[in-house]
Amino acid sequence: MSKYSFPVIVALVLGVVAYFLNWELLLSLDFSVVWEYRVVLLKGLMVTLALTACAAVAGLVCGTMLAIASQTNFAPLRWLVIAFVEIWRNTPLLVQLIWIHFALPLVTGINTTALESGVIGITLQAAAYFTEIVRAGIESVPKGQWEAAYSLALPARIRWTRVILPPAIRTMIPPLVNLTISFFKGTAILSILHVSELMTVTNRISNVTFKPVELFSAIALIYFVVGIVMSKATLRLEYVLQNRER
Amino acid sequence: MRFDWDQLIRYSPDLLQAFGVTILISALSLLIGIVIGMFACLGKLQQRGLAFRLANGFIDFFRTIPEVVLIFWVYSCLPLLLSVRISSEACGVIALSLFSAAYLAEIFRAGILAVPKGQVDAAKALAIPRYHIWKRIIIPPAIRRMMPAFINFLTELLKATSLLSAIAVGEMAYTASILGAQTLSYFEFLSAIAVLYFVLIFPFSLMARRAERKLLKKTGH
Amino acid sequence: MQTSNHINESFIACRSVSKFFGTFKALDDVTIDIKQGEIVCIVGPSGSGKSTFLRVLNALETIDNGEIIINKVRLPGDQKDVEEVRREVGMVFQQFNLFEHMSIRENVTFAPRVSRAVATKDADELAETLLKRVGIIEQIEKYPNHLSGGQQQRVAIARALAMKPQAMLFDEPTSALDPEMVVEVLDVMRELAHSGMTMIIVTHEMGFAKEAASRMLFMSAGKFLVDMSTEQFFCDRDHPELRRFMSNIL
Repeated sequence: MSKYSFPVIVALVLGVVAYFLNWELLLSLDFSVVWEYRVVLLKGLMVTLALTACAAVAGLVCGTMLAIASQTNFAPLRWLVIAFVEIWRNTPLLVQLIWIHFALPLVTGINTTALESGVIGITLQAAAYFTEIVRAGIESVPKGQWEAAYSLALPARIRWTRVILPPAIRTMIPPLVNLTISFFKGTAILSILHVSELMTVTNRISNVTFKPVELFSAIALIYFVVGIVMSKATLRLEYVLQNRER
Repeated sequence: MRFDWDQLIRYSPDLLQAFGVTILISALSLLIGIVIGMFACLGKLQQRGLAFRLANGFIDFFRTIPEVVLIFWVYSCLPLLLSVRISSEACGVIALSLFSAAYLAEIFRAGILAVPKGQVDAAKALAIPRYHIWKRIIIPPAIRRMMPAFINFLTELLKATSLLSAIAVGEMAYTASILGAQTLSYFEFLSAIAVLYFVLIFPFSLMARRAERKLLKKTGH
Repeated sequence: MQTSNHINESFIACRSVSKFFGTFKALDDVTIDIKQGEIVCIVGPSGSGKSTFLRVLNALETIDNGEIIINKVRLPGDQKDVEEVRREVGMVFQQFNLFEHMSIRENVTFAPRVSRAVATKDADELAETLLKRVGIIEQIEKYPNHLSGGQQQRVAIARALAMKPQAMLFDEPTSALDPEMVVEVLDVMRELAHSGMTMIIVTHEMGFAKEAASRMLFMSAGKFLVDMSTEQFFCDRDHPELRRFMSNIL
């Protein structure tokens, strides 16, 4: 009996949903609007991917510098890095974006465009998250490696680039890729500033065509497909990395 | 420029109310998310069959699409599809519940899978009935093991509530933007809610880290 | 009908039991009978299927072929049969597997209470008796991670005995222990053997086997290659594989 109870529950739920659905609307759905605006949507997706890449690259560069800075013995610098990381990790990206876009110009007197604000916001957020990962990666390098580098009197630059960073980077790769995927999702938040990425573009098309169901369902699917491809590729990468170590 | 405290004090009741809305929506979404998440987790633990595939698809889908897209979809499509009016607050709770359910299902599952297999073997070998194995042998250690990730998720959920400002839910980010636009004191209001969010979220981050350290010490890895 | 005679005289009867892990054959067509009161020691190289054999006897692994009849209950069977078998057969694991979040008292009383419906008071009395028997009564309110490995393993034995099983399975009970703790566990097992308990023991402790076992099995590649009385086993070593194994271990 218990073997069949689950399909029965599923069928019941589907039945209830089917009863409440607006079939008239459902049958009149016209997905040709998605095809009609394919060029615009594709451009939006390109902007989304470009913003993701920007967050990943700029974030990684800033994050690595901050992580190295956080290893210094100079306490005020260390505290500054920690404060930056904690503030940006513990407030919502949306609030950071509107703060940069609307509040910051009042202080600096420099007006930023939506795209500029968006790029600044997501880069800084990425930097904060990447700092944590890079720091964890650096701290995962055994102490003996540091001591060996010190005892060989290697210059700081060589110590970092040849001894500490190579093994650290290997442990960092999976979380870094995962983070990049979450910034792919995060770029949709930039639509609050009307940066012309996929979400903004869709909103605009929806406002002129009055076909929200078709459009939002379609881009949900686009985001899903791109995201799932990236995360399955990450799993594969993790698997390859793990097997290579053995 | 100077920081206009008067404006902030004048509108502090509005901000306070918005703070309450943020917390209320988070709490509701969390509760609903826990319930749905438990079912999704049970489904995924089956490893095969219809329940597994449904749960797996649900989890993958709602973890992968951006929260903003989900919120907009629920807000602009669900009322049309069901031909009912749904308030923007309810839309927000629905969207964030689905988001929570998908993440929590994976967190629950990881906690359950982290319980050493030997514990369950020993319980089975003692002929302990399945109900008691779950209640006394699997769930208590699983809860301890999932605590850091669970608290961490709370911080993500609190941050995600700010996205509801896109559909005009009167939570903190929305209220601050509106007040900022009305009074042109963007800097004051946006800074104020940034601080409020930080004060709300940072303690959870600290708790998650402490829970993690405690767990590492206990399981000895 | 043919096998019913066998059932009456043997407590455990395996007929052509096979078990695969993927393509790896862990148990290869095993047929064996074990009578009430026998003390059976199983030896053999690691990976030969000894642990798997014990685990299928407790239905912790399902078998792919053949059947096992334990105390007149047939495996593979439904959940009720499985629990019936597990109530009558206790198991002690290499890694003890005490419930980490329960005190020693709870560890020992939990199973009788929930699967034999023993009253809490009776379960407590039984636990105290058993813990006295294995010599850990002073630690009864402590938690497993406060005990040494030897003490934990003795608790694990008491925990299994609390179900009043008719037979006990030991899966390398001393392999995870520091050398100085092996003796205390073997002493408890020796005492148990003298009390007439049916025991199947996977072990590398040849001294213990020679002294306590009534029957020796040598397993290799999922088969029992040697099945002899203990006296025979330790005098007569003409089996080449067994000789190689023994010279490595002694």
